[in-house]
Amino acid sequence: MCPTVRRGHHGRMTEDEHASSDRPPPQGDAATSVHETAGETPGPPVRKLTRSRRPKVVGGVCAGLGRYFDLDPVIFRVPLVVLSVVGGLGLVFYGFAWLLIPAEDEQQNEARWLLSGRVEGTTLSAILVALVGCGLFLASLGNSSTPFSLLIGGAVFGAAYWSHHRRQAEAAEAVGAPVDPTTAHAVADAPPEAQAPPVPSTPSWWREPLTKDGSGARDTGYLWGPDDQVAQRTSRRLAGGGIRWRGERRGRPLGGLISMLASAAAVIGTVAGWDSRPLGTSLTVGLACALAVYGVGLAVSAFVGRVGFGTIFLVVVTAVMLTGASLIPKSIGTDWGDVVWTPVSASDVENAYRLDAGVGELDLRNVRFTGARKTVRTHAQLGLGTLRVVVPHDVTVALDARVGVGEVRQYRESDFGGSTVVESLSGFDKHQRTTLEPPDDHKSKGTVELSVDAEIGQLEIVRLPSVERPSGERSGGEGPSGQRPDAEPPGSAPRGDREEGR
Amino acid sequence: MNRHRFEPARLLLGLLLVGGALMYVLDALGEWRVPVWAQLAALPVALVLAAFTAWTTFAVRRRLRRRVAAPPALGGMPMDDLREGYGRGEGGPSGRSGGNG
Repeated sequence: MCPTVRRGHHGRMTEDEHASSDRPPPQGDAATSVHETAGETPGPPVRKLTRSRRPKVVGGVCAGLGRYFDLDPVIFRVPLVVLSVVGGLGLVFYGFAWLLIPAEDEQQNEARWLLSGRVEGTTLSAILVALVGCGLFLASLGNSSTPFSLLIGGAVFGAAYWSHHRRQAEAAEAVGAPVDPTTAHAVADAPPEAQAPPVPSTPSWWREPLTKDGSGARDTGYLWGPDDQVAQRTSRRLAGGGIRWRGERRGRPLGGLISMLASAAAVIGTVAGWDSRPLGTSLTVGLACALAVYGVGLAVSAFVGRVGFGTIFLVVVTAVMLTGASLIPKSIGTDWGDVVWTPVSASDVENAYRLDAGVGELDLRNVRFTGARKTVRTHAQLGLGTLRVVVPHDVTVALDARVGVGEVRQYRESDFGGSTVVESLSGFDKHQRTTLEPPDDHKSKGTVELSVDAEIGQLEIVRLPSVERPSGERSGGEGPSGQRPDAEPPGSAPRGDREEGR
Repeated sequence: MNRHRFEPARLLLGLLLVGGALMYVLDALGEWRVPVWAQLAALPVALVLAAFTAWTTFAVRRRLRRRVAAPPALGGMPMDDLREGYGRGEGGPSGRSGGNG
């Protein structure tokens, strides 16, 4: 996260030394110089927070943290698991650390890779971990576990910081610098840590110069064997070119190009038949074009260039969307909008009403059920959305409704503004055939035979109240609003009102 | 762009995807009735087949490689370094430079 932490810390310590250098001036200067050189020159170089590659369990975050803070990784692992289980905070931390901390042999972290468009398996799993953690955390927000999580996190952080600080104080003491008085007591006077034996860098015994007197200092009087330069060359190569960039091995990455072409194909394929075909067909054609482009790209990459898991991921996403689009009912069109049908008389009621998607309202309040036209028969078809059928209070409704996914509701307005749900039926593939009688105190004046075929959405049957009220309110409440006509004298003025209201 | 080693799994996956896309388009346009279970199973089957092909390719290639590298004709002794000469230590892998054991 902050690669210069150690150096910055040294800077602070030297400042402290300067501040307190009045007492022992010469020694302080010497210490400072020693310190600075020790900070720059080889030794253990500036320690960087990286994810460990070799000892690792999942992403190497804990091992990297342990290496950075000089602690056993278990000290991070156990609280992390506890935090994950208790409140999900551990997973949040782990996911983001996985994304943000670069692996030890790479220069950029996974988030950078993600932003530059190369999604790989590790990146995806990091995101997944973070997402799951966020979900758990949000789900447990109401719990009382959050303070506990914070306490554990704080304790671990404190331990790590203390360990870090103590190591630095020990290192400073080893060099000879005066120790910060606040940390002086924290430094235990333990024997120096056992260290691995130094790696023999000199040639082995049989490569020693034959003349031991030292006059022929570097005459490389080997009996045989290669020069030392070979080893130097290899080490330099390791140091300089050790970082292998992704995608260097198997040709140029094709993922970006393929996904761009696929997006273009999707747009073109969708737009091509947007007006003439239903929604599901347009989307299916567009997404299938994108999938075909992906397929061609993958086939090409079998010979030339390379694609990574990011492309496979996008292929899966595209295919899932394609499957979803192909399951959209064909009756849902692309002509979306809000429609209100207001037949004025019984003869004005059409045989069928059709709405692709949107909010539709069939307003039958002005239809007079008198004389020979006791029965009005109509059919309504809805693709996606809401269909509201408004009937007068004194009419029997013979309903034959089929709903793919959705709900059939029957309202009766008890009061203006507030409506009462009399009956509600919801679910998948529902078929309802009922007869709705008018309320008790009214005699049926006529019958509306209504058959409705709705794919996805809501069908509302709203029965108007019988009481005459001043206009101003509308039937269902939230729907497209219009003026309420006076109910009793039917077939008079109100239609014009409604047209204006729209 | 340079050609690389042929990867049969990607070719297979690509062809299957093109075929699947064709199937979806024909179904959407009403030319060809495809049952819903086939539409749902198309992509998982393609992915599994591709994964199986990739695994098979990997196994076969590893086996071939091992068979080629199998007979270690008296290696590892300093004598062999001597016999082959140290000149190849320059260009060869660095591990060979230390025949010193």
